[in-house]
Amino acid sequence: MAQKLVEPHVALRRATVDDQKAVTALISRAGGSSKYRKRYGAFSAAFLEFSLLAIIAYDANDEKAPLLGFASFSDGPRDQTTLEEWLPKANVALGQAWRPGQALFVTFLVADPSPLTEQLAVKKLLSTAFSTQPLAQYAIVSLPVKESQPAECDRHFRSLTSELYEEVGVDLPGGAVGGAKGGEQVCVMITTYELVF
Amino acid sequence: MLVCEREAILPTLAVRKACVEDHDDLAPLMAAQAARLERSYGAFYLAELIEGADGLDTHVLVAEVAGKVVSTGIEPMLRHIDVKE
Repeated sequence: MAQKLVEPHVALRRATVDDQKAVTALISRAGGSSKYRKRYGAFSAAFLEFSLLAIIAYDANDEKAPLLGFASFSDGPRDQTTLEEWLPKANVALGQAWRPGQALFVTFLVADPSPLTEQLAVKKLLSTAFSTQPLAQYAIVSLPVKESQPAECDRHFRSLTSELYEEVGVDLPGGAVGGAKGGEQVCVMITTYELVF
Repeated sequence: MLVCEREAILPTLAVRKACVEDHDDLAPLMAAQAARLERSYGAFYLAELIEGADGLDTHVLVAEVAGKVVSTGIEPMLRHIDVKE
């Protein structure tokens, strides 16, 4: 007899260091640590302990059940560049008008891959992040060049750089996207994690 | 680089006083989340609640997005509470 799928009641709370084991298990369930290492770097307790905001999504009907999602956020880009340096350059390169405090950087995002919960958990994680950070207007995920858009980002995120590539024909290293004539003259290069100007 | 805009997740709400015309937008919300009220106070309790707001001691507020009352809610507020009742 087929088991009936019951939609969990997704609830959220702040993450603590004690969640490390459960988040690691979630990462394994969602595709494995190597997949996420390429996107965000190796997962460690630092994401839980030192992030501006680290949120856990869990099933309120069964708090002992495996976690449904985890997201951590910072208020600046992950490399050595300061926000004050990064923002004006990003605005020019991406055609945006972001102001300091408006951008929230997603440093890690993982959700249970179940179709019942994945997008719901991501939406609730983002909703909580925006509620907690009232000045934040944008949540930004910066991915390595060769990473395709993660499934958990499909519904709630849009790609800025692919729009940019289409618009100006940026030639990516390895010729992954773009390819319009003159692309090599565009002063935008994408390195491993951040835009370099 | 991927971006998610606040408006897509948490749309800006406009809060205003409720009017009777909001009834049809609010009815599904109340049916889903406060069915007990209908059982206790009858089918027209919502319209009566909105009409009964005098703007002095009783206020009923609704939240809307882009001109449509959303499932965010309705907030009836009373200045005085009859604790004896």
